Amino acid sequence: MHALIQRIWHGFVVIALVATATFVLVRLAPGDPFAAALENARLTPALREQWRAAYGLDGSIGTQFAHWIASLARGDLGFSTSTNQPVSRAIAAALPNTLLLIGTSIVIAFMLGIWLGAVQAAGRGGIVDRCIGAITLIGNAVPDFWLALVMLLAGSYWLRLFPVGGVADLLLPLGASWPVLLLDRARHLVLPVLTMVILLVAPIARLQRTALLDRLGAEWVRTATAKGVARRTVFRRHAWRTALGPVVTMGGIALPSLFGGAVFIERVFAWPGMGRLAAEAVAARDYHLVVGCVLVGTVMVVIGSMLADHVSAWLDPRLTQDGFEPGRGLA
Amino acid sequence: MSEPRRYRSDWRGAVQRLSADPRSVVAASVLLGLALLVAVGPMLAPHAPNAQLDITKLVHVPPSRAHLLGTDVYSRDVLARVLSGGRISLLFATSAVLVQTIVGTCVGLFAGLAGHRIDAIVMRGVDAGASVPRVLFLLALLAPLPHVPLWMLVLTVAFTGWFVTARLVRGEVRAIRTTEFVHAAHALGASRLRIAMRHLLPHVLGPVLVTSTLAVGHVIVLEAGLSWLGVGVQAPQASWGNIIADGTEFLSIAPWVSLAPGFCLVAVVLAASAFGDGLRDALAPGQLART
Repeated sequence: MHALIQRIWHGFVVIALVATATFVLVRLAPGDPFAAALENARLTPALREQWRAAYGLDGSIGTQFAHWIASLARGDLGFSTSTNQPVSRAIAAALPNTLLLIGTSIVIAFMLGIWLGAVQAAGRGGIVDRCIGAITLIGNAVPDFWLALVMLLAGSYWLRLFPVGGVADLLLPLGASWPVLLLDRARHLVLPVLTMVILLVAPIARLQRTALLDRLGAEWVRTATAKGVARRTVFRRHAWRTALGPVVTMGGIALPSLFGGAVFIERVFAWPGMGRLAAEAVAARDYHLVVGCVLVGTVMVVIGSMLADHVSAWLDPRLTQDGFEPGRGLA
Repeated sequence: MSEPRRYRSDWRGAVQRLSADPRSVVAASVLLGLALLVAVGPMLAPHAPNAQLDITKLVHVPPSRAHLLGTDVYSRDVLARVLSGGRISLLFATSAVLVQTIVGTCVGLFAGLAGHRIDAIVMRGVDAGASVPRVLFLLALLAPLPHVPLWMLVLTVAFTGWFVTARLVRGEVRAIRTTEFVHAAHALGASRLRIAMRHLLPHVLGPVLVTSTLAVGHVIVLEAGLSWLGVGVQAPQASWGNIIADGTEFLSIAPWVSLAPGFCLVAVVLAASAFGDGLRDALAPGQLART
């Protein structure tokens, strides 16, 4: 229990550091959200001041930060100047889309990657192992935004199977029944999810294969075999389960790059999620929205890596004994 | 607890093992070949990378004898741009990785040798740095700036990429700082700096080298991504990322513009990661059995 509290505390410190750094850094650059609109000779300095004060952009960085922390404590992330709504509302609109995209991709990629890695390890050195190995090697090397473009080109332009972007068809009749809506949503999901799965599955399969081969040579696995446990059971219960630990840990570590990848993939497929929101916020110098996006992203990363640690500890009981280091699996 | 891993400075043996491994040899040849190509290619190319050859007749010409990779929307020769852009992309990645490796190694050595409290503070900072989505952070940092010179771009990218190396070095140092030879060096009166540079650094050099090789692949993709988003290498200077960006808008009518530099990126990353894997196996032959 003590360890859990410590982890939460560490996570909190990380989030606080990231929030502070982002808050300061976005303000260090010249200009502000109103630079384009307000640096205008026809406006009096007093009017400019009034506008900046209204949006909490006056005063030193220190006072602004104090204001921001105070409102954050009340659950208020500030006002987004570029989308003209509270930051929390902008994020609430975008977050479900990103979660849908990332969540679906993670689930598919983990199931596929773990299965592929197990198939590889079971037939180590064989033709299947080599083929999957070559494919995952390429999957590891493809730049995310380029893969998304290639997917778009192949799936939407050449094959004409899937829509070019967005989350839903805007021309659907208003009273469309739910199976139609669901199918439409699924069709829009295919290409971005496929892109993300290809990117995700490669490292998962590689790690799963390595970890499984490592466990298959371990003493307790040999002991189980010597006891006369069936080969399938040894593979599944003794080797596979503990080999999942590093894979789950890696899932936690990979979360930041997933959010990074979302920036590109959402942009290519015009998917209105967090990545696109953040990119647009940055372009518009929308301070509060930028900080809000980075904050929400970091919180999810921290929660994700915490969850990953606990799941891998559950999978491999040795981890809860000494030698357990947060954020670091066995591999 | 696991016993400290031993990396003997068996560099000659490592080079021998490396040159006996066909995968590493192929990877190294691809990397060297590409480096050579982008180094001398722009001089041999029939067109200048930024020359707009004929903006009425030569826009979006598909790959042909005259233009091996076709032309883009400004009638520029894509091959010439890919060669010239490759120069920037490769130089960018190697220099950024060099900087982030040096910074990461120094921080790692420092944290590894420091007392518990300083170590904890530094490592929390590293944790925070590693938790931030790197692309998002760089985007937030770079987008507002009107014009970022290339060297500053390299430094900015490098300063968001040293966390992994720092964590690695710090872990290795923590593992070997209590071994006999470090105690012996200390007893003989060696200063902390000397112990760090002469005794600990050679031990961590192997893993650091492996991480850096793999990082070249990451950084070249990162640079391409930033340039694609418009905050990296700025036009008219070509880089693989912004060539892809030039083609993105016209993907359906001129896919060759975006496809060519993408394949180059895949080749570099593939070669860098294969070489990194080979290097790891060559440096730690005891673990060879695992893969």
